[in-house]
Amino acid sequence: MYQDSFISYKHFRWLWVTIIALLGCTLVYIWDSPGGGRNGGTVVGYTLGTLATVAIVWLMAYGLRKRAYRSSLGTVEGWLAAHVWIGIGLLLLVPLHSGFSFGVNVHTAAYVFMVLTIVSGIWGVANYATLAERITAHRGGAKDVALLEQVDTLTKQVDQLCAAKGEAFLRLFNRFDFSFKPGLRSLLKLSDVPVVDHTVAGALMREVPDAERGDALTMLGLLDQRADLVRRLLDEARIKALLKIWLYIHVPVSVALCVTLAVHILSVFFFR
Amino acid sequence: MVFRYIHERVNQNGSRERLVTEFPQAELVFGRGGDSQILLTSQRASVHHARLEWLGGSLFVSDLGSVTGVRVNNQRVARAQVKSGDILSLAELEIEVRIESDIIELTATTTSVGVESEAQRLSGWASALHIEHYLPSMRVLVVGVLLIGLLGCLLYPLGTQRFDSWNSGPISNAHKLIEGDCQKCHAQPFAPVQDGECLACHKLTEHSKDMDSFTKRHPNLEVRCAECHMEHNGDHGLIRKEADFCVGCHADISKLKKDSAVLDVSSFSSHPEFRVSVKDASGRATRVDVTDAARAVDSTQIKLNHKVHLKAGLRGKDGPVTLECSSCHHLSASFRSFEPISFNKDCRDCHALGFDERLPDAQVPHGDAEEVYPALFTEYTKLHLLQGGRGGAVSGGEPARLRPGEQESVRHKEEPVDVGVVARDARDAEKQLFTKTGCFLCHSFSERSTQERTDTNSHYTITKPEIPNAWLPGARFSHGAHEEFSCESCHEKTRTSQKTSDLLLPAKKLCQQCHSEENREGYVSSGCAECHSYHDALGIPGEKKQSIADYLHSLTR
Repeated sequence: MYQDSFISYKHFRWLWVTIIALLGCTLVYIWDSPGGGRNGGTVVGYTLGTLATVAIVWLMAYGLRKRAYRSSLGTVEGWLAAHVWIGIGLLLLVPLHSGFSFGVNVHTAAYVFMVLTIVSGIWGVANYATLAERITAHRGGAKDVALLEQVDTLTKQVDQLCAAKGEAFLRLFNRFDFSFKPGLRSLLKLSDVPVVDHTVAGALMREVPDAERGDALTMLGLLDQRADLVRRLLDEARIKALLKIWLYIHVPVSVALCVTLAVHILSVFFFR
Repeated sequence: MVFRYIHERVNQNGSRERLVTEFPQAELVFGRGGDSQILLTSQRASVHHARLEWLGGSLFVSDLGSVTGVRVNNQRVARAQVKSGDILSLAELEIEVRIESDIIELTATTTSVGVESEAQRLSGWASALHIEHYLPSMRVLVVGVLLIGLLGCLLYPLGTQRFDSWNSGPISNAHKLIEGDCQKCHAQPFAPVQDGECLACHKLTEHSKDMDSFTKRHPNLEVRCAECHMEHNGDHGLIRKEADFCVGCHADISKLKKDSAVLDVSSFSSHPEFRVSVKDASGRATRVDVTDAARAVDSTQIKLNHKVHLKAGLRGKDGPVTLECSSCHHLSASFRSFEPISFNKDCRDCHALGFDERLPDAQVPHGDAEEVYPALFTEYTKLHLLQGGRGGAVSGGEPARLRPGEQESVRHKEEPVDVGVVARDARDAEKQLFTKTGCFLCHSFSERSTQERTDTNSHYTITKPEIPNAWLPGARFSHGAHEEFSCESCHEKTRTSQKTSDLLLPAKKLCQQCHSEENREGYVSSGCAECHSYHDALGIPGEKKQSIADYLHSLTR
């Protein structure tokens, strides 16, 4: 799955860099036994805090690098690999900085926002790793509007077949018909598209007069086609939503992290 | 029957328009055709689309062969009964039906978005398939978070001067009273807490005097109170008890301070042997290892034989007694140390200071040798007075009773006492007490020279005993905390000790059976502070102290 992806970039180079750096920091943390206990205010605490701040500022800079198309400052793929692994490494580096002390304050709020940023980032990576392939599988090169047009055409065809038909025909129609209008409900999978069940369809078909049976069969075929199309359309829309929605958590929460981090640094120097 | 058709149009600016048309007839036709009562404008509607009819007290809808059909509650129908509350769908028009006694109300709501082309509708649907369609723009989110964050985390604390959210950790219990007043310690923003802030409340203790001289001797070190006394770690750190903190200097104290009275120590394992202060031949106090049998001696000027005292069946005041350690050594109210040994409390029961069989209840006072002779003189004067009065020996020591109306002074006058005889008896008894019995049993004495003697003073002096209250005053030891152990498990040689000079203190290896440096498995974790203290708070001058009310008043709460 991760073959040749940004995660395994250059044989997991950035994973190893992160592991070795964390190992070093952990050893320094264990070696250091300051009076008053380990905390962010000791020499080691300040050092690890500075390291974490530099890392966070650099991670935020990824947002600029990926838009700087003319930049030759490393490949975007390399930046992303480092962004992911170093970001995950912060989960340990920051508690080492604080001596694993947490409280109800702006300092721990910065850590919580950082964890949320990282977790949403991991969710985004996982979404890309598992879902991105499925998008191309769905696409037959057709655009959303073209697919929606097909749905519309099928709806019209079904409507036409239903015109001036008897009660039994309409019962069959009503059983498998569904109204389709894209919306948040369908995107969140709150409404579903019915599948044409052939046993149920067969039973209802027996009540349809012989003269209308030909049209009924065509109608069922069209409904099936339409359901299939709508299902594909919604599936793809949901995947695309998942590939984007994590970013709507990742980016604002990372901004919240930056604000609380800035206040954290300001406050600890304000009250030295 | 009347059909009332209400067409409610919601305009782009949100205002609503209602167009009410009444049709006093039994049927109503919907369609694009000009002959329809209700004109449908949608391209999806047929010329003759549907008919509503009131028939036999019920409302029916019929599909007039439309292409897109007629739906009742989303079910496509050819002909069906419509009930009050049903939703009728014709092409894109949705009509709510309400049937009352003589009126059928049909409400259709449309939004006026102008004529929407098929392409517009489809592109609208396509954008509805994208999640961004339902979310605020990223820019709005980022700016919103930025503003809320700055307002809540920065401006609110600065504006209201409420810095609870900036508190980096719990304040120590000792400073809880001033918790809300950050400026009490942090007088200047962005400047470290200065000693002045600490010394405003913490006046000159012995410790800060020491620190004063220390900082003067090492001006390059810039040592601040807050560098050792760290706040915002709860109760941890303000007064540091970690051995590392002490050992930092004390491991090499001999190098740091050439004339140091204490020895280098880096842990309890490497702790020097316990040392007691003894006086050498010249009377100077020196510190000697408790294991140094030749020099570590108890120089208390008291004759005490522990072996004899711990024998079973000693002669007591009211018969045989067997003493325990606790018979003489009483744990103090603090359960830490022992009350000083007192003759009256601990010895007198067995060692009564009697001096004459003729005066079996009389005893000389204890404590001051100078009081002995006057006491003896008084006792013998009384004895001779009584003997003179009766003309014979007094038995039982009971004073002779006065006759009614008789006065003692009268009797004295009648039978004067020979002062010389009394003095002789008293001096005899004094000599006996100081050189053979009473005092001699425990104390060493010296006889006064003839020149020093007077008629009234004591002819002997006692060497003042100096019983130390604590043998190791530099350390704390709680006897109460060790109460489950027998006294002899630490003071091992007590039962065989015959000389006062035997120092019966345990050596450090005995403590090390249970205690070790911090965090050694299977041992009581004992840092320096387990036995030693840093501060000497007794140095706080009286005038710096204040009443609780004044103190609380000084806090800006």
